[in-house]
Amino acid sequence: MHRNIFFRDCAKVPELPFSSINSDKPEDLWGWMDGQRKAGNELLAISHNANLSDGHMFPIDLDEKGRPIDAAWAAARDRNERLTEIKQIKGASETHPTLSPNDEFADFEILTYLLGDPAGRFPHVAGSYVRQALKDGLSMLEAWGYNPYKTGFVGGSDSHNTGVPYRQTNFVGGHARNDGTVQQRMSGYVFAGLDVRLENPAGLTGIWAEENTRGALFDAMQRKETFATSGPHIKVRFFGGPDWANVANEADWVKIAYAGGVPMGSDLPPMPEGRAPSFIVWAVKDPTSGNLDRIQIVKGWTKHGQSFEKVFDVAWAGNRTPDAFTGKVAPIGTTVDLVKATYTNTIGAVELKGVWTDPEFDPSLDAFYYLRALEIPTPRWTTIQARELGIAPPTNVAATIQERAWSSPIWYAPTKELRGAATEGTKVADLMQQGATALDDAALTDLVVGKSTWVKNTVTGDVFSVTWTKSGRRLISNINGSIPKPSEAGDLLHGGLLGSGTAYEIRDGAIVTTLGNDTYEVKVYKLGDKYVAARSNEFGHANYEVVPTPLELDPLNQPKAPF
Amino acid sequence: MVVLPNLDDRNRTEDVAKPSNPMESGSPPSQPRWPQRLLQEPLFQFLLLGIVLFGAYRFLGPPPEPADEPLRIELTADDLRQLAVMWLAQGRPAPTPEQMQSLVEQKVAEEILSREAEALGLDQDDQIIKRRLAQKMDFLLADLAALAPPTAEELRTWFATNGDRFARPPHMSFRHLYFSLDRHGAQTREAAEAALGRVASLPPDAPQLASIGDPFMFRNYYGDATPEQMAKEFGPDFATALFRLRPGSWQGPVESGYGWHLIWVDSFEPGRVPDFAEVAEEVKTAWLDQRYREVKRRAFEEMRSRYSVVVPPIEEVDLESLKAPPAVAVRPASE
Repeated sequence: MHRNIFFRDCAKVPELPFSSINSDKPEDLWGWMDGQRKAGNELLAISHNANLSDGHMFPIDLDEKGRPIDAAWAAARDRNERLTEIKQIKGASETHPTLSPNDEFADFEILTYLLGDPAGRFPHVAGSYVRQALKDGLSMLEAWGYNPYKTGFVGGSDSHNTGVPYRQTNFVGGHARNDGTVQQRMSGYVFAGLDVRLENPAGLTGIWAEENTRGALFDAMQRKETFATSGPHIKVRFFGGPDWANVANEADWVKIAYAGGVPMGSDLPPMPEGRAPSFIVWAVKDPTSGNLDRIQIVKGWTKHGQSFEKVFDVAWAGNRTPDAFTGKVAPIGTTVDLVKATYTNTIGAVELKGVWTDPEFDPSLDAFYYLRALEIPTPRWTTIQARELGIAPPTNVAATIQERAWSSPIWYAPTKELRGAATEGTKVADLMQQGATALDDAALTDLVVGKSTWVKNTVTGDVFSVTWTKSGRRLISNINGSIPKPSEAGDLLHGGLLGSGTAYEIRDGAIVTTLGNDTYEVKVYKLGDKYVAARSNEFGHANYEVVPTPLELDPLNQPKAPF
Repeated sequence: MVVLPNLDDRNRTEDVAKPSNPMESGSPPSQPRWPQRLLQEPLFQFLLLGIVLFGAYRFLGPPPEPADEPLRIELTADDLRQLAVMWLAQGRPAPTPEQMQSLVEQKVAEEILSREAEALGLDQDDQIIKRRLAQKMDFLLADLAALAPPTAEELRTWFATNGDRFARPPHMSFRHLYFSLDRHGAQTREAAEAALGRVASLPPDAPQLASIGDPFMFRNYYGDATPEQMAKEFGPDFATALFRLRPGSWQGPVESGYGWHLIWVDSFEPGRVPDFAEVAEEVKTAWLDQRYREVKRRAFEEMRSRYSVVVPPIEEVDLESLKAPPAVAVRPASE
């Protein structure tokens, strides 16, 4: 739960730094930082190692002092802590496979554990990853009027040695003798509860600034014109604007892009009527690393307390054509020789550039977009060092990885008029006002236990069935894969596609499911003869209706997206 | 017991020995008795003199200092001030009396334990202690080396012969034509070579050049670049090859991490040794460092020459039968 603090001017620093001896609460740190700023010491904070924060880095309801999060808290965070470290030696914090089940590249350097390995506990995934935080921030903005998580991305090391390895080819560890010899590393030495083979080289921060001076770099960080890499010097550019036709091929396209749009870390200007935002993406490989595989844009948006994400392939190497229906581009293949731990740059590209317009744009919904560029597969350090020792690569980590870079996001916010014109969605408060009654345990038992219910997600129009056994297990089936699923969707489905199901219980007037380490409660309300349900992570909205068994699961005229 | 040399004895001895007239006395002259002979020995006389002097000093001189009592630990006010200084140096506010007491206890404990350890001979054969003592000798020699700071004249003279180590990297200004691996794939080098044939006769600013090669994502012209900068931009192999080129013609193709390049070097400035004034501080540091090494080397040679060292022939020592120690599992340090 650390933050890294940077000062703009070496001559304007306090006598003593703020440390955990003063307080271990970020709220107190931000208060101190506000005071520093008043005293003329300009500074910023970076959220550090979110993936190990056990859900503390991006809370939704309560802050670290147990107080409800409000606009003031969000403003304090936005003033002081605008950047998140998305990659470091102890893992990546972009997203987690259970949060992003449709992102086939989401399993990059996933390190989810509790520092010190305390007995009897395992970590919360929700609240520990920045893509979900960006989405939650939009949901909070829509529901409550403030967004504490408009954060940009940087990379870092967190090496506890003075020297830092950035590349798979020279990973010398980061914790002195705990991972300092190849034998120690490759024997899976358990350090503070962590198998050190899960460590990986440091990330880097890239900054687009006017000049290479401290002040200019600091200012660029404050405005989030930053990107992160997983270690190699991959360079990326990302611009958003109304129209980029013919720009990408101009020799001075960067100048044109700055003039006609906004760079990474910024807010899109208002879009002309009927126009979807366009983005220019550009990436160049590190001259000493692997070629590039593809550039993607990750889009996140929110509606009525549910948030969604989708990853689009925008530019790619080679002659691959995207799938006609999903738009996805096939994997690039691999040149990695696992035995020799080598690769060749005979696939992939040196440079990628593209323009993309959002094909699913809904001007009434808040959204963010960020760039992700991937290299071709290259051997992970564990494969390389296994070769050194003459042993097989370990089975608990990937043998090859695709190094990558992420740009800070660009945000879209609907204008006041559009926001005002948008439908409100059903809120629990509305239901109560209309005279709905909340079902108690007995009524809930009567409604679901030993039964199957068909449920409609009124935000997406998705209709699916839920089977509730008497022995306390529930299964979600009949899922329409072409309709985007709300946040933490994989957990919502929880093995539904394979028929695995998950446990549920009825208590305290709610149907409770525990997924990972997080509890979700669904409260059901009866309004007339309709049953409407609200899920606890949907910001006061009641987005689910029990519906009669449908005749068709996939009506031809049903809009899939936008919805 | 004080025995004063009895000078009278000597006279008496001589009297006894003195013949009035060798021809007159009837009895033959007798040999002096052994005590008397002893007393005649100058060595003995000096011995007696020495005993007198030391004896007098012992009784009349200043009383001897009491021997250091090994069971007594005395801290002075200055010692306590030193403890407080170390406390303050950690950025803490002034220590309270309780904190001072605790510091004193720690210091006393350390003193007691180290004395006990010495008494048990634990300081013998301790590698860490030996290392530390050797290090202290190093510090001593470093201090000696720094005793006489160099004059500006000395530094200049030294710089004149040792300037090379301060050489600045070479600089190069060049323009290049880029041939992209993305566009030409396996034929990229060929494409560059073919282009070289076409441009070889062209000056670097010829308008035809605009249509040769591919757009490069960074710069077409690099002014005043160093090898390190170019290694970062293009890759290390390219930087090495680049700085072997010289101005005046299109050369290549040279390979980078991005493809192949034809290069026209506009200007090349070899690494130069700066003027003394530019690097005066660095020179002083380097000079002191060299002086320190010199002092250390000579001092050690002198010390070494006084020792006889015996080592068995290395080839005759059995190293084969050694087993490598198992990887040491360490207790995890806290985060």
